[in-house]
Amino acid sequence: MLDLHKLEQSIDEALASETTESLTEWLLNQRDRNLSAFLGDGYFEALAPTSIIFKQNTNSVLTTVETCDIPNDYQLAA
Amino acid sequence: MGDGYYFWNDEIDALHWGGNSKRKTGYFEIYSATISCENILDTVFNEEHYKFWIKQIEKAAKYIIKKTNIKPTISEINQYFKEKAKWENLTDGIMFQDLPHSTDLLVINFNYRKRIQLVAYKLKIIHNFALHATHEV
Repeated sequence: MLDLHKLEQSIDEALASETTESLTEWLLNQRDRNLSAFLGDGYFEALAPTSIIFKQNTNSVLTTVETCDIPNDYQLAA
Repeated sequence: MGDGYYFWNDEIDALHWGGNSKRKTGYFEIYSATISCENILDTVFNEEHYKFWIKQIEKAAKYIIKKTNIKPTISEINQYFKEKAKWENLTDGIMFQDLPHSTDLLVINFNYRKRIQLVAYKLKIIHNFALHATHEV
């Protein structure tokens, strides 16, 4: 038979013994551990930066123009 | 939910989990087991345990937020219970309801089926562990 009173007592005692520092450190360790578990074993490799240069040899640009007739005299709406 | 051995109550939840989470490997296996639940905190079917569970979560979470200004995650609050409050010495595990949504439900916007999970803290409560099925994704 599960003793709920003992379970509650153990939580209350654990919380009562915590300080801001101890709790923060424990939480951050948990997050670090979870991140390591997600990423798996390994290490980060520093990669050399790469860059790409685009060079334009001509100034000509292809464009399309669409035109439509627009009347100059607008009628006022009634 | 922290460290432990996790089981679904219904096979369909294992199928959905495998289908969504094992696309990279292309296949997954489902194992079945019989779990001794005498010393389990049953937050699904036992009303007293359920109310107790909510009270402890809210008490601990409020305390952690007040002290650290950090909202704990689901795994952190449960790992705290297991590790810092030493629940692993007092109970064999926890039965709980996972996120309620499931694609097999037949009524719109009604999560009528509980997606029940059990985390076992100890191997001694797991019996008849055996391969049940293998599926391709």
